[in-house]
Amino acid sequence: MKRLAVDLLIVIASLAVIDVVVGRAMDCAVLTMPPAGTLNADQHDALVTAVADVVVLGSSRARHHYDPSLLASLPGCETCYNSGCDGHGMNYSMVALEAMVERHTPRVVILDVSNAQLDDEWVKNNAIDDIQAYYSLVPAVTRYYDEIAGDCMKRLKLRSNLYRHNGDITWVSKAFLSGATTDDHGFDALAGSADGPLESRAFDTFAVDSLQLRCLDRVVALCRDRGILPVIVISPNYEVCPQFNKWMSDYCSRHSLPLLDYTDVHFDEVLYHDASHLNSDGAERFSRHLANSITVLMHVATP
Amino acid sequence: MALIAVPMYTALMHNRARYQNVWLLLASYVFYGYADWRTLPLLAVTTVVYYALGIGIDRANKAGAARRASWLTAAGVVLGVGVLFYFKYLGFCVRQFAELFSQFGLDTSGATFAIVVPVGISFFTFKLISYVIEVNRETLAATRRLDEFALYVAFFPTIMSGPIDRPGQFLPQLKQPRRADATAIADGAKRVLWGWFAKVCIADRLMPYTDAVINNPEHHNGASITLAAVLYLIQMYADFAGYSDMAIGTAQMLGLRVAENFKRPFFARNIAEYWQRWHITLTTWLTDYVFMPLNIKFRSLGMTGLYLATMINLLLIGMWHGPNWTYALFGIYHGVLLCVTTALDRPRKKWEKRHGLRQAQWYAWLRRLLTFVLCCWGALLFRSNSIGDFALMTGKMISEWGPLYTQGTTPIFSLGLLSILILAGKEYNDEMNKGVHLLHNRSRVIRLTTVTLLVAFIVFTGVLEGATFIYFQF
Repeated sequence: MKRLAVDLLIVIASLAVIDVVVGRAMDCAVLTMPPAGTLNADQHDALVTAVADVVVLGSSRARHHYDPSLLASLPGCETCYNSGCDGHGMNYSMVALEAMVERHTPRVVILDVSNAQLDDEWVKNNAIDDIQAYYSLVPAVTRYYDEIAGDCMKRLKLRSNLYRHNGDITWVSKAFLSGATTDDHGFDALAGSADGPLESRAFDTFAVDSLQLRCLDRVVALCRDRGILPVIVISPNYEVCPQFNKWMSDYCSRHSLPLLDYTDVHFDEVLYHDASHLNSDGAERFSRHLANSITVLMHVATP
Repeated sequence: MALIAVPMYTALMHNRARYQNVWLLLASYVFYGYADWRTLPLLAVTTVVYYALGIGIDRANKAGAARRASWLTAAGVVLGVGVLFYFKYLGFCVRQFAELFSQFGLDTSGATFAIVVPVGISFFTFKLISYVIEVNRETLAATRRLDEFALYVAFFPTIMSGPIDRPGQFLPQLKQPRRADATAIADGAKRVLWGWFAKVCIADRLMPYTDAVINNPEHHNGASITLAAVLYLIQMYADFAGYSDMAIGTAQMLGLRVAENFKRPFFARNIAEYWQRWHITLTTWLTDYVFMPLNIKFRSLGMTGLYLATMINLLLIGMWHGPNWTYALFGIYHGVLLCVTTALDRPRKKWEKRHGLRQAQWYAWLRRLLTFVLCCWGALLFRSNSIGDFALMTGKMISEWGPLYTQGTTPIFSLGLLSILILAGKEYNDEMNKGVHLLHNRSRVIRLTTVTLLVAFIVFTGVLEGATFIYFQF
């Protein structure tokens, strides 16, 4: 038994060494990753490097709908970054905004919202762990896990660098090996139109998730603290949730937030990639329309 | 669970078999209750009933009342099958009848039957049934110790997904106190580690691809479906064999031997051999208690009787997995393959002898490949959500090929394939007796280095969150 205990100690000590070495190497790789245009590379930009006057937050619909080249022309603004991220909830939007604000205070934050980001059933499927690589590297990420997520076990596991970088090797290698560099500012235009006719679909239930709500509150509070104009947007969609729209409308009234609801604005079907995402033409048209609306809002906010 | 149970077990209670058994029983019930406390009473009640039945059969045998013993055994078998049918199959039958009646215009909207299926029910009812049969056959004396019997039924490493232990092998071990043995603990821990590797680095890594393709066959072409079929067979093996390794390893750390469940099935050269290597404890259980009696009963029918017994046996293997037509068809498919294998056995051997193929390595590999391909198709049927989906996928595999579905699959085709190569290397080494033993090397440095690297690899590349075992649903 004594020998077994010694063996166990040797294994634990060796693992600790591997953990430190691999952790350092991966931290270095993650922080110096080139802007390859992939989702992970765009996450890296949002959390580590991007600086912009207009910041777009949200999930896949934000990523595919908002063209930064059109939104950068808002009054008093020169740059726009789209930090929308496929399959992510409000917690990711909050972390991305907190990380960006640490580098530069934007003038406008456009928050694209949908029931999928806030509903307690939907958010179970939302991703967040792909940013755990930045734990202890980006204060906003560290703060999220340490103070907001409220998961003690997760915090404990994140002490291990191997765990923190679990699975990262594939996307880090892909970014380095692809050799591609893009300056799309996080925007990913979808090509092509939907195969068949689109049918409207309504989700009949909505129950807000408490963690996601807390994150939304933090986004609003941060904007208020820093004098940023927050604009809440429900972008065009064939899949709607009337209860969510009502809830969001009430929330915005309560917090005196401008809400631009495009649910009833019917874009032509050819402007859709699928039932809930616009294609590149749709994104262009929507972004132009939105830029005009926000310009009006900005004049109202600062007469 | 093992992290708490094992140290208490070895440090505090060694030398006292009864205390060890009671501690393990307690741990097993906590483990089972943690999975679903609502079905704990069923486990406890059936355990007590079968314990009493065992004693009753034993007494009847000793008193020479063979008829009473047979009746009690039959009662035990019927009760076990009845419990299994009630919890697993009744809802399905009600739904099928409702669908049938609705086709004749009858209102069946009220004909629903929802019931909680107890976790591991297929595993522990088979243990209970084999106990009464063995006692009746007098190959095993009924145990008078309820704690030992209850532990046999509920033993926590095996209750969820097997292996399905036989009472004759398991119960005698509980009589002796288990002492802390460093070699057994180290070997058991390595086995658990290997099972964990198979589960999180292979099975859970492949799952997103197989789920994405097989759950949406209308959106995928034949190439993606074929790849999904191959990956699903590997996923199922890594998942189930991984769990079995963890169960066997945990038992080994506790000083108990549990039956092996897999023996490198992808090296099988025909379907018969495949079933001798895949889910061994289920196939041997059904062979002993269903196939052999049927084979004897149908002996007068000659080869037809053998084929009939084979088909019934394989159909039961399929249906054991649950109430679904795909499982039934899976059983029939393998039954047909097994019958064809049996029928062609003699001509094949003659042909091989004539052409000098018996020792040819390439020929052996060709047969392995053919068996693997047939099993992949079977796995696709097993995993399909409906027979319609399976037919659609088979049609596409024949006629509709195109580029592979690769969206978000970089981790699957990099880390997943690397892990499969590691698994394949180990299996090849073990099967061919190449003598490379890294985890069990004589050199302490190599042993410890392998363990360390394996743990690091698992934590660095495995899918560590959220997945469950495929066989928990059965």
